Amino acid sequence: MDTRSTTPTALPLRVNGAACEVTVASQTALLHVLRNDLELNGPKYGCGLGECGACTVLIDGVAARSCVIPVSAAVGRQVTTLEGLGTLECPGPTQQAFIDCQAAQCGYCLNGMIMTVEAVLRRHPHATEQALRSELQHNLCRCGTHVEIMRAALRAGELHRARALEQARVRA
Amino acid sequence: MNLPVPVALPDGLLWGRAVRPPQLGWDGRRYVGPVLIGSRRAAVDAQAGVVAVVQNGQFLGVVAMSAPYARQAAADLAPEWAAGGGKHLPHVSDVADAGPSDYRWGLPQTSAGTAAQVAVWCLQGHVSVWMPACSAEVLAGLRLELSQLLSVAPQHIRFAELAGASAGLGLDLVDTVADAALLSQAVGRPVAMAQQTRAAENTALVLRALPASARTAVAERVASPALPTLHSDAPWAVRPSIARLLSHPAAVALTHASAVTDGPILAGSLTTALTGADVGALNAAQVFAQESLWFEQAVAQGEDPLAWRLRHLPAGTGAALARRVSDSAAGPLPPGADGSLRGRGFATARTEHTADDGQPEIRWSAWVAEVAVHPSTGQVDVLRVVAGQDSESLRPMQAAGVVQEIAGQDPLLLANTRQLFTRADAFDDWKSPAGDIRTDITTVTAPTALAHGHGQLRADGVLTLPAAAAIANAIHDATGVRLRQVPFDAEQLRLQLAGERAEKPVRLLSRGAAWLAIGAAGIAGLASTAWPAKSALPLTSGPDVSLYSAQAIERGRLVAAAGDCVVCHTAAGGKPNAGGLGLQTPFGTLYSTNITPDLETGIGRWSYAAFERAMRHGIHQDGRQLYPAFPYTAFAKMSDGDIQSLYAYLMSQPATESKVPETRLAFPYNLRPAMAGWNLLFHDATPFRADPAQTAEWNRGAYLVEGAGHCSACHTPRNALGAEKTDLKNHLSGGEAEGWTAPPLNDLAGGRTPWTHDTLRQYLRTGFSPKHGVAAGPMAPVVQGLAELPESDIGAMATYLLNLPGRTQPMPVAAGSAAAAAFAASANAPTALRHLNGERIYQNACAVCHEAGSGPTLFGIKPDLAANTNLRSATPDNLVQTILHGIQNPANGDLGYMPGFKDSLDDKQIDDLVAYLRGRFAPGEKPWPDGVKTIRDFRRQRHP
Repeated sequence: MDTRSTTPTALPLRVNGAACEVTVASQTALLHVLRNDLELNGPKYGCGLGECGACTVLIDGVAARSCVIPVSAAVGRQVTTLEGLGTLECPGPTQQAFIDCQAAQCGYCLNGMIMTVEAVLRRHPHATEQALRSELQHNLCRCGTHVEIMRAALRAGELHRARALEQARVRA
Repeated sequence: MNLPVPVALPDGLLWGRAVRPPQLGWDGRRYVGPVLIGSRRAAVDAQAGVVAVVQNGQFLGVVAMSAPYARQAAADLAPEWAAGGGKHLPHVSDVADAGPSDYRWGLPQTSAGTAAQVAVWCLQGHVSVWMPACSAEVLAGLRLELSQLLSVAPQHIRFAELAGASAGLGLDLVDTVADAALLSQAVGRPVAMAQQTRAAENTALVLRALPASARTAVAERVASPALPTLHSDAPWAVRPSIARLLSHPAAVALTHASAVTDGPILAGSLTTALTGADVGALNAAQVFAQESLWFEQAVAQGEDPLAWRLRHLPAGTGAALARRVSDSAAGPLPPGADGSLRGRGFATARTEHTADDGQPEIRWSAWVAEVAVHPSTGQVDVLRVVAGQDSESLRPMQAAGVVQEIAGQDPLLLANTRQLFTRADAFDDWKSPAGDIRTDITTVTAPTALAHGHGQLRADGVLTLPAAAAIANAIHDATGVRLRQVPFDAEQLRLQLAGERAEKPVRLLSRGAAWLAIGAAGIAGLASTAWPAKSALPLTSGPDVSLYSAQAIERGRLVAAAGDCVVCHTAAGGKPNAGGLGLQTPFGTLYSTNITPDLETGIGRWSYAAFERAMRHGIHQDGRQLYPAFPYTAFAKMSDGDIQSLYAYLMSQPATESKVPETRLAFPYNLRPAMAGWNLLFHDATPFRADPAQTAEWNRGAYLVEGAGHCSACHTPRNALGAEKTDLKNHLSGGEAEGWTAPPLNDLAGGRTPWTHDTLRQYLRTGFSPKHGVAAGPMAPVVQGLAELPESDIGAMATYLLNLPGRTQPMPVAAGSAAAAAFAASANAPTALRHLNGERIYQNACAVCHEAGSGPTLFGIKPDLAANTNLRSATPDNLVQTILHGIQNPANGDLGYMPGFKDSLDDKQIDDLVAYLRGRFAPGEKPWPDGVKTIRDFRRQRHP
């Protein structure tokens, strides 16, 4: 798709499992569409250059920095935001781990931290601490909450594995 | 316990890709191909987006988060193979000159449009398969195959249909599902796979008739010397899936070909070449070879072929059927009134089936075909077909109740015979993803009325098995020429009839030495005296587009895609092909024109003559000379058929009213008539001529590259007058476009990282090669256009580009360690500071997506800068352009996007960054000079 067009076009999206349509210029950053048009404020605007990670969402299960990806890139793919991982009543395993470990100071980077950890664990449920550190290396936290964040990331791994075991038991 | 399989694909679907050994070998009993001795498994396991590398015996594959990650990981695995245990005797198909008694059965090739997708989830002894609809036969075979492959009970395998996917060839589909199943079993999670297209090495099943001398050596296995004895590389037992063959080296086939031959087919010691042949093809190949051989034997002995064949049929149902069919077709052959040669041929087939109730059943069929061969064209008309089928159950109580069917001129049969004919691929054949759009050249002429009480015929393939042999025998009868290759090639027949040799080779690129550039003022002077203005061609009311066939318009669409018309003829944000894009050239800014069929502002009133003149000679309908920014110098190479189809396509598109800015160049370039002189000097309007000394694939590639593709418009240097330097040394030796460097194409197989056919094909198909980098800038839309073309065309372009005559001496390659030392030694104070600044910027801005071996796995590919061609280029132009403007419109959405840094990094910062990148990732190359001024210039340029 030609992303150069500045004319608003109707684009079909699938966000957090639901179909929707937005009418925007196809080169608009996905982040702006999620926040402004779909009112999903989990992803945050940080640097606008894909350097800090605050805007991270999942596209087809892979972490994506939504401030540097045009909305047209999401057409035909599944977008998952922080809101798609769970609810207030029933948080997802990664969200629960960050709550359990109280891994937030100002909280601005938290969306990116949670989404990046979620992406890693979907890929490698047995990810090691070293792998998690490497993956989180380019998610910037300015408050110095790194110790709690790493603790939460390891806890998230435990919760993910427990849930996978439970699902396999139900299937069998 | 069986679980219902939901039709929707499961959540958390992963993507798989299998890596095949360079050759596959099977001796009919076990795998004898190359053995895996090592791979970069550990490195790839830790790579971005990779879930697992799976190795199982000789089977190697990757599971990743998305298809592009899987592709990249598979390309990076770099497996090493050692020769396997099998005896590597030459294959029948390897023997260079096909022996006079080789029978070749062409296999259908998978085309780009039919690559199916499948998904498999194998967990705890249960297997769920999502796949396109396919025949019950394929499904039953697949269930058995998976059960053996995964050691899972057949009843624990469930199938769900994937809507919207189209099935490819049966065996390809089985291979793909088996690959995905093995990968899914290894990771316990659902794995999706796209059908991988096989290399087109095994394009035919070959059976060789054993000469009498060889037959005595195997005499104990030959019942009677009269029987045709055949020798084959190809398996007569259908092979197991490749995944099973590689993971279980002693895998045996689960199904067998069901055609029963009179004489033995020997294989024995030869390593079996794997093919994509299914049971149907195998049966057909055997019947074709055997029945052709019977006919040839009879002719050699001076016997009547029909009587000879009937005499050798064992008495019983089969012989009775054969007699009835031949009696139905008896009678004198009418002589051909139009100079054509008439002939009649007979063939029969016998197959063994397992009936629905598990009982064996024998079916017979017999054919008589009558043909007319036109010696001048090689065209074959099938005039008449009489075919019959009968079945004989082995159960005694039903032995009497046989079905007898005889058909003549059944439309189904005639349609079937058509598939047996083809012609040699011409360089301007276009294959549409929607199906082959070549037009038939073989006509099946009006049938001679004949019907022998034929009822509803079953199109199960048994009836049509003898078709090829019957027609080959009829052609032999008519002309004395024996065709041993199916599909039949009319051209080959014509050449044999005419006894002609192929014409003398014509060198394609002998366009002569480069013309000396002479002063522009001189050209202007010449123009005013020697070349009067061209006349306008009359305006028309436009063609009646309803006259164009859907095929012509589709062909035109593909031509337009290959030529990327829409890229230059569309302004940013404008309607497609409505023009107005400004092209910056050294001579000023030119604006592309509106090529929609709008009557006033477009080309709606252009006649075909005017359109063709513009395409071939660069002259506007009104007589103005066009500037060669419109690459008519390349388009002139296109065939008439392609230009006609392109006209049909463009004229049937929606008309857009759009007046584009007028192109105004400075003196003397504003003198358009001067272009007539330019054309005389630099333009060769001769259409492309195929080089008979080269393969059809090379010619197709040459035609695409030099014609519609107009690669040389950017990749060939231009002289002072803006003309491409056409001599061999300069042709495609690298040029410039829109502020980007277009790298040389005439030494792709040389240099530091040589391109291979595979990497080049992958790059042109996906816009990315892990070993060379990503297509950006003006190359991205080129790859977008090429996406419309089938795999075979991309392969043909790669073949041609890798075999360009041009620079032959390899580029000097600096040793890695010496280069690194030079980098370290160059660290004098100012350079060290630049590198320090550059590194800081790299770590903040670039490393998150580009640092190999660490950092997050992000959407899109992770391009390795150390492998990027632009870092090794003579100028930093492409690197600077990419840093300034990013990649907002990638060749392919899977590759991901890059932000531009023009608003956050200043000229000095970018210069430091570029110096650092060059030093770190291309340590063998000379540092680029200070680039602040270049960066400032690029920043000012308007970016599309």
